This record gives sequence, C-alpha cells and structure tokens, in this order.
Amino acid sequence: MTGVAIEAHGLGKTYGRRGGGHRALHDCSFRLPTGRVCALVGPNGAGKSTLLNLAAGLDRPGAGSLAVLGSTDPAAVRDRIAYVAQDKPLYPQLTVADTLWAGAELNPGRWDRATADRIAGTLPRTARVRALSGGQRTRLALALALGKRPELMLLDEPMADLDPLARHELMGVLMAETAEHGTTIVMSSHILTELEGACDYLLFVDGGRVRLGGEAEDIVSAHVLLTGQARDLAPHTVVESRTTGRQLTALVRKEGPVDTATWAVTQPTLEELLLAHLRSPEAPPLLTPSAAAAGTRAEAVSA
Amino acid sequence: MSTLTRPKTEAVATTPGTLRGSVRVVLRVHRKALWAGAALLVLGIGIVVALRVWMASAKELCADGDITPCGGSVYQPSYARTSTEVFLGDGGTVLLLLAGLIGVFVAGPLIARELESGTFRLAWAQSVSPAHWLAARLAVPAALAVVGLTVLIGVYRWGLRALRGYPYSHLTHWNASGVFPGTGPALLGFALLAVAVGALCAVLVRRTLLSMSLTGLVLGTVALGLGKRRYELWPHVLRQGEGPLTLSGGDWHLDSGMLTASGRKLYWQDCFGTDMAGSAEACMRARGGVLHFTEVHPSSHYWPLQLVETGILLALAALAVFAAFRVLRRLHG
Repeated sequence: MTGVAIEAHGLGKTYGRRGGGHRALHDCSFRLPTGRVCALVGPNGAGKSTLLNLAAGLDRPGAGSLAVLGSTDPAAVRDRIAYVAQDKPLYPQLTVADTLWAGAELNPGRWDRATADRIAGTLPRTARVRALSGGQRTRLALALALGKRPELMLLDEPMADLDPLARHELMGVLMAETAEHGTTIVMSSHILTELEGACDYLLFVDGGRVRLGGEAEDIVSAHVLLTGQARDLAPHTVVESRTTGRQLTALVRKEGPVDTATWAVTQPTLEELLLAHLRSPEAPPLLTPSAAAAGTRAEAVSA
Repeated sequence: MSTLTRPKTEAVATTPGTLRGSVRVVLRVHRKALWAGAALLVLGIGIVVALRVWMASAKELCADGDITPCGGSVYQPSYARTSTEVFLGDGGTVLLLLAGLIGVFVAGPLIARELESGTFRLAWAQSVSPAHWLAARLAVPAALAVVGLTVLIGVYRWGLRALRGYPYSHLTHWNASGVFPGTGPALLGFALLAVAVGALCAVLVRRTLLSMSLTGLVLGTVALGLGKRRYELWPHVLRQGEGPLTLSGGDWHLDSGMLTASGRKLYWQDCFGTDMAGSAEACMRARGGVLHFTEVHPSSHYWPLQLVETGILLALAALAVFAAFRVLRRLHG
C-alpha cells in the first residue's frame, strides 16, 4: 500500500464574495498515503470541513490542485469515496430500510448490502429517519458510507453524537474495515483525544493550512520538551517557550542532538504538541516526507 | 466480506445506473407528493364527469338546451348548464395554476430544500454526480406533468364539448383566457417551463421559500403576459366591407373600425368620448373612414396559436434547463 490517497498543492478556497470573503483554506499542501487512518484535527473554523468537502468532490477548489485516489478531479471518482458530512445528511421522511435501499440504488454495482446491514445493526428498520437520535443517525450515515465499499472514507466529526460505547464500537468497525480492505480513513475532530490511539496519521489544520502532517509517532518524536536554566535553544526550532523564574520551558523541534547536560528532556504528548502549536501561530509547519506533497520545498524535514 | 478482492470499478461505472437509481429514490422520497398529485388528477376528472352527469340529468326540452317549451319566446337554460359554463370557463386557468404548482414544487421541496438542508450531499457522496441528481429531479416531474396534464386536457376538452353548439354560451369560447390555455399542447409547454424555471430558481437561490416564491412570480408573469399578448402570436385576419360586419360564432374579435381611402385604420375607440352625442360612425366618416373593417382570429387559428405558444414556452424551458445545469456545474463541477 504505497499509493497516494489525497495530494494537495497550494489548495485554496474562499467562501463569499471576493474582498469580503472568508478564506477557509489558503495555500494548503500535503499528501496522505493510502491505507492510513488519519486524524484531521484543528480548532473550529480551521478549514477541516472545507478540506473534506473538496476531497469528496462536492466543491471545487478556488486555487491549487487536489488529486484524490490518483484522479485530479475528485468528483470523477466519487463512487470510490465515501463522505459523511458533519450534519449527517439523510432524507428525514424515509425509513431506515428505505434509506439503506436508497444506498443500493445510488451505488449500482458497488453496494455491499451485508456490510450496510451489519453497520446499521439494531436500528429499527421501520423507523423514520426524523425520529432517530443523533447517534442513530450517525450509525445510519456510516452504514451508507461503508455499504458502498469505499477506498477512501472521509468522516467529518463522526464521533460528535456518539456515546463512549458507540464510539468504541465504531472505531472497531473502522479499524476492521481498514485492516481487511486497506481502506484509507480520514476523520476530523476538534477534540484530539477522540481520535488519539485510533489514528496512525495526523493532519493538523489551522488557519486554512496544514501545519503538522505525517505519522503521528514521527511528529511527536520530532519534538521535545526542554526544561532548564540555559537560554540558548539553538539550533532547534522553538515552537513555544515559557519562563518561570529562572526556569525556561520550551517545546522545540529537534534540529540535531539535544544537549542533555543542559536540559531536562521529556517527550511531549500529542495533545501538548498541538496546544503549543495552537498558541504559536508563527511556528513553521512540519510535514514528514510521506506527508509532503511532491515537489514542495524544504519544510519537509526528516523526522 | 471476508474476501480481499476489491470490487472492480470500471472506468466510469456511474453513468447509466445512477440516473435510474436517482429517479427511483426521488419517487420514494416524495411518495406523499405523488399521492397528492394523483388525488388532484382524480379530483379534476371527477369534477368534469360530475358536471357532465349533472347536465345530462337536467330536464332540457330542446336541442338548444332550453328548459322551456321549444320554439317559445323564452329561452331558459338549466341551472346545471349555466353552472357548468361558469366552472369550465375557468378550467384553463385552473390547469395553468396546476402546472405552475408543479414548478413551485420542483423549486421548493424537490431541489431547494435539499440544497438548503444539505441532503444533496447524501446523493452526491454516494455515486451520483450533481448532473444526474438534477436530471432526475427534472425528468420525474416533467414526465409526470406531461402524462397527468395530457389526461386532464383530454377530460377538459370532453367537458367543453358538451357546451358546444348551444346559443348564448359565451363563457367557454375557444379563445377565452380562462379556456384557451387548458385545451391544447400549450399547457404542456407551460408545465415544462414551470419545471425548468423551478429548477433554475432553486439552484440560483438555494432557499426553499424564496425560490418557491420566485418561481411563482416568474410563472405568473409569463402566464399573464401570454394571456394579454396571445393574439399577437399569429397574424390576424382583416375583414372589410361596406356596412357593419357581423362576426361568425367562432371568431375571436380583436378590434374593428373603419378604413380611410388611403387604407389607414381608424378604430372605434378613437371616436368614443370625443363627441358622445353624435354617432360614432359620423365621427369616423368625418375623419375619412370609408370602409368598415374588423380584425379577427377565425377558429381555424386555434392550432397555429396553440403551437406557436407551445414553441415559445418550450424554447424558454430549454434555456432555463440549460442555465440550471450551467449554474450547478459552475458551483460544484
């Protein structure tokens, strides 16, 4: 599995009219290899939904290029992509059974009824969608998404409406799916802890661009938390530093061996890392080699 | 499930199947509206049948519909006959409203509501392209409207036939603005325009109520405009003669007046009000009028007028459909 699921170059998208428009994505470049379970994290309004919308082929980028599953036009491969939007769109007047039937009708030749039925599980088949709870709607939307046997799944905030048990169950289903079929999964959330542990890949979007991208482990191990009395942090890239009395605490990106004589070195957690980046918008982006779009510059460092 | 082989995806496997699937999903999602439409169809047929039964049961003593003894000095039509005339005299307007309603439905619940509530993403995130999604939402109402309204046109014409040939029947003339639109293919043209305008407004405005209102406004303007200018759609016939001209029963009288020696037209209305005391004809003669003339559409103009109107409506509908697809394409590729 060495293919590329999503590759973006200088992607831009502006909503609203020119001038007063809201810039949801700006010069966003990254690459996502196939077969990964990727957490797309970032604060509210960072551009996560916009990115997923573009990758699903529902919208066209305002600038740059986006290739999905090898096609430069994501809409042309929509039958190989499953997308569950944040509001879990479903026809409220249809019953659960009718919705699953519609899934089969809308995916001729691809529909896997057994999978869809399995995901829909205990949902009452005669209940109308408008009568379902938020969690049940999510389950039905996921049944539609998995029923089409996608090669790439784009899930926008899939966990938001689920209780912990259902979350756990859903994760199990998704993991089985990717293990069995090599499905690439992108899940967005503004709460990292929802996804941590389940995802092996990370795209951290903030301010309309990808600031951290790559294997979660590599990204974490590229950073260290230094505590000590010295002041000189060179040659490392400082993400965030804070002084308490004579003590300096800094989260840095390693640019060489760390002087363990001067510094007390600890490994930050992924959450600490993201928080530090959120507090320091000027920290340079980091994309591991697998996440750097081909032909994009030096910001790709070896981790 | 246990097999690792991925389903083979042929280059563009989406093309033929998803349109059929989309059509079936549209029919299922809007099942209630479909029943309502069927109910309206039955109601329309029922009203005409009921009127004809009522008329047939009226005790008319003569072939001319008189309920007083034949050849008497009094002519008295039955209540059933006059009521039928009144009802059928507005039948064309009712059918126009019905066609407009289809357009408003397309604009609102069928398209704009999906765009507004986000359910369009359900279809588009399945294997349905936006173009197929829109095509299904145009094809289904268009086909149903054509079939349903063709039936109603037939029934309406059958109802009008019962009133034909009787004297004093003036409400159901072929050219009456409440009759003409409901008796021929122009109604089908209007229905198709309604569907197309509904779709265009919906993709432009993307708000349920707003696009419904806008569609109603556009269709109302078209219907009223056609009603006012319909007589211009085919060249009228000019009749002239020495004395005042009489109209034959099927004529659609447009205007009349007198011609001057040089052929200039003087209309009666130009002489009304100038000198109410004097006769209008004297006024016309004073202005140089020598021959009486009248402008009419004879009943043989029914089909040319219907067909030209149908053609205009179909051309507008085609433009609107084209524009709707263009807008959708520009927004979503």
